[in-house]
Amino acid sequence: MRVLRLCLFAVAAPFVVMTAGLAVTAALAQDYPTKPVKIIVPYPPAGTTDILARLIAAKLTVSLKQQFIVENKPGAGGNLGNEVVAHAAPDGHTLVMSTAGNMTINPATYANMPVDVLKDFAPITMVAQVSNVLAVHPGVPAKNVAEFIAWVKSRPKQVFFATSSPANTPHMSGELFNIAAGTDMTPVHYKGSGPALQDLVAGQGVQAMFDNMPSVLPLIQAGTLRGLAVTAAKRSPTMPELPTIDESGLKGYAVVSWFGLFAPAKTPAAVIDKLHKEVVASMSEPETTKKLVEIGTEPVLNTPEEFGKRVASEIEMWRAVAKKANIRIE
Amino acid sequence: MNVDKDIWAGLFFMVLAMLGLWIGADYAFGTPARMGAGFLPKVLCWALLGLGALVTLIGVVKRGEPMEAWAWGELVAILDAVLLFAAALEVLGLEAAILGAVLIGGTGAPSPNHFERVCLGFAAFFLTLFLLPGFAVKIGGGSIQMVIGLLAVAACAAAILSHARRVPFGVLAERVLLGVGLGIVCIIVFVDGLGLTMKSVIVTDAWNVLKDAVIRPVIRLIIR
Amino acid sequence: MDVLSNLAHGFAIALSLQNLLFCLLGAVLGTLIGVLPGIGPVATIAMLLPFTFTLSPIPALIMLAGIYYGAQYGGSTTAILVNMPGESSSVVTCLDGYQMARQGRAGAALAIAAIGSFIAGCFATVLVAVFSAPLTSVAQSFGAAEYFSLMVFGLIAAVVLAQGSVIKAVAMILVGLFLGLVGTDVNTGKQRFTFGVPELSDGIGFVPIALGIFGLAEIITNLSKPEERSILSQPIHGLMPTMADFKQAFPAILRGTALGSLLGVLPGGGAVLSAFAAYTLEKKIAKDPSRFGKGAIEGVAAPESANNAGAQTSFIPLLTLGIPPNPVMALMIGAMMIHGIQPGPQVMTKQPDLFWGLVASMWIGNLMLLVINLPMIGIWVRLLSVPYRLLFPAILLFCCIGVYSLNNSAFEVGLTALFGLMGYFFLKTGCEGAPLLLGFVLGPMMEENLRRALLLAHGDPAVFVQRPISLGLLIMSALLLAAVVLPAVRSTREQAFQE
Repeated sequence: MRVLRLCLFAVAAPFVVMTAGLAVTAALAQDYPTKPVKIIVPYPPAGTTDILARLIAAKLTVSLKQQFIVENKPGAGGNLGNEVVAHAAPDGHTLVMSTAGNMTINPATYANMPVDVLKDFAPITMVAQVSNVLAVHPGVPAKNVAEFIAWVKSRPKQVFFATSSPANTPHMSGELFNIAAGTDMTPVHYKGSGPALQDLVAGQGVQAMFDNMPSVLPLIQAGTLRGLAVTAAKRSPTMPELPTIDESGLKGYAVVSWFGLFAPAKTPAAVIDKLHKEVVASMSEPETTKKLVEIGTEPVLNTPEEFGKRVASEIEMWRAVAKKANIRIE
Repeated sequence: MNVDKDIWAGLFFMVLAMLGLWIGADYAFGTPARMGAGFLPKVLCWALLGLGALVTLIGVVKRGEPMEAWAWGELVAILDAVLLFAAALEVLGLEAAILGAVLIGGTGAPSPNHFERVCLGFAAFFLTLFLLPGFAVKIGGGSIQMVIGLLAVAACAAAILSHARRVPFGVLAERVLLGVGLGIVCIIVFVDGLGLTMKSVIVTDAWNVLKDAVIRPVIRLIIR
Repeated sequence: MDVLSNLAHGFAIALSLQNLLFCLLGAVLGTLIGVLPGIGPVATIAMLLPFTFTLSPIPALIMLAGIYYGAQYGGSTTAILVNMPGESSSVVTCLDGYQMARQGRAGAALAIAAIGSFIAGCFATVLVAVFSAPLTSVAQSFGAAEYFSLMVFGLIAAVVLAQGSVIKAVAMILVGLFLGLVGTDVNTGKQRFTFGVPELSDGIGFVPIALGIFGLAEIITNLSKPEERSILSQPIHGLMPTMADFKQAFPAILRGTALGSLLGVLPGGGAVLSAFAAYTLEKKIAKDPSRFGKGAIEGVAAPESANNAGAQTSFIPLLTLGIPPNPVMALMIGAMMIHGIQPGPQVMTKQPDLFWGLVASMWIGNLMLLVINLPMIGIWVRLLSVPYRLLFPAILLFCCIGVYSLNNSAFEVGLTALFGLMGYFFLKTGCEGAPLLLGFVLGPMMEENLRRALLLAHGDPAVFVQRPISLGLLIMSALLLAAVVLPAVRSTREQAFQE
């Protein structure tokens, strides 16, 4: 055992000195980042969140001269990845690319939340938003939202809408629609938007669906589905011909799926500012903006303060919807 | 153990089914139109319970072959290695995890040859560094960590070689000792600021206590 | 004739130097990640996606497609050599492939897997080119009720995978179904059997279960037999299959291809079923079913061909409808959209270069895979003669790193150890892993579709017999059940009489 112990100290000594030096430099915020930065994506690879995170990571790696690494931590509707970041060291070297779903709907619907979104995170900036689209099977006679509401009301308990998962923005868009229009559509949950669209296109039981614009866009353009309206407050630059649900008669109806970057709470303000500045700069490049709009994603940037307020107000809105529609995830 | 293997299997099925029924007792059964989360679990567990009973019964009646003896040494070595890899990876880094897994798993070999095993450790280490550089970086290291890892390997190799001359391997206690030694090397090496992302608060707390109570004083001692 | 000229056009595009290079790159990368368990095509394509932004769309998509079918090829290698199924489709390849390897016929098994995949790939490419439209309508006639009946059929077929006791096989399927329940319930979001562990909230992964039950348990067993110096129980004979092998395997390849092509079109898990279904078919129609599980070459040829055919035809819903049937296809759509191509029916008319180029490149890619893989067999087989005490730590590490890299989750690595223990217990008690895995894979889909079908039918179970396809599948399930159970009952009775 003595040999072992000797070896340990022989190895350890030089590194203790080295790391002591490193620890001193790490304290200065203007040197941030001092080591590779992890951007956690709380969803599996693919999907808008992942693509956006990889896009930003590639840009920040160049502009901040440190490796930005995307790591997927899927699980529990995005709560798992959030939890990891909430408990990480608040030094700006672990960030999370989160969404309206796990930041605002989960707190309103999950019985056991592992994190307190408002207390555990420091918002950096919103990055992009995606409108949801109300799309119907072409066999549905309705050509606009008013006709659609009348059609649903004429067939009580007979209309089903597909969702890509319970308690995400597409599902909640539908529940909010039910409340606002006084309809009684029943949600049918699928694992992801692919199988849901498959059944909607084939007319297998479900007649309508709220889904993120990028995934329904090609189907509406090809005529295999009919788009009725977008859920956002404003028309989308990608499909300006689609009216909003708000202007179609349901005043005040506004839902978007947004994506944004958060750091753990207590991250130094200087680090947040630096990240905010760099992300805004990289996402404002016209080339990037154009590409994102083409796939149905609108780059939307704001300040940390605006972003924080938005998260808080949306949580309140979804709490009310979840209570009325009796949605509770255990 | 002269009990028929069917009896073991049957008992396992029954225990699993009862566990399922017990944990899932409060899952809603629902109606046919809106089945609750508990519908399938309950149906399944009852079926499994019945089948388990049947398998056990067959075992009792038929008196077939008894279960073969278990190779406990090999079982512990392999499962230990995988568990060590899981435990060490996010706390100590990939290099430590690989080394630990190879060394501990290696004790399960029919005729252990320590020189070979250490060479294997090196081979695995270099393979990771050169073939999977992206992976190594992802775990949270850089060139510094690579150098450190290399030295850690050298230290472990020396320790094991000197150690192996006197006492033969294979005893469980020694395996544990080796694991702890390995752990200490790596913890000291990966002090603050070298890309540590702690998995949970509990680990972080344990780490803080360890740091304040043990490592800091030791470091101070050495620097002084 | 239109198709021929279109195909010729496609080949002209796919044979350009740049596209050939990217096809090769994709195929080689795919083979590599297929060999490494855990690092699947989804993660690889996601990582390469930003890189393809700089390419023009055709080579980008050719490369990504190459990764996908290359991975299908590579997956069989570890299954045959060390009994580690890296993905659900190679579970059945383990059953006979690994036994062949132990008998020194790893070369024949690998070669027949590669050749079978190639033949299946060629055939399926033609299908994609010619019959996309009618096959799409077949896929569209499958609703929740049909999928439920298909899953029931698959689960009954799982009994056929077992060689020993039928009752224990059924129990193992139930255990698999039970393991499949762990995680979030799709319909209500309720967490079932997760013990509050967030890593379990999305269910147990396939790879930890498969590597634990098959891979780790096998390592432990091998180590506990001191007489075994290597995996081989007999010396290696021959790298290539013999004429007799070919004669046995060829019809199996054709049947596997046909089955795989059909099932691959179904988005909800058809591709997963194809390998299982092909194996079951072979075992059922074989003159001597007892050879299966002991190194029957058909047991490698049929599932491998089915698997590859299914991988190719699963492009059909993507190309004709623009709907991704699985996560890999979802990434392909992402790649198309980033390049400004709207996937959907108009791809064929608006982007003929892309559509036919991709189809042609699939065929070329398959040929390349054959050319890459056949010479590799020699190297793989030589690997088996490495003393086991040197080989097994490497296999162990492979398992660990593979499982970790799947979700960056150390918890799953720990889970693998638990399943290793379970797998060892199953080995000792004569329970078989393959039915468990099939139950695990199909169970969640079965439950999802059962509940969806009943929800849509307002709770009326008659929906399963009112719809013709569903009824047909249920009748087939009943027949298969009878075919499986009757001989078992008879043999038990004979035994009872003898006593």
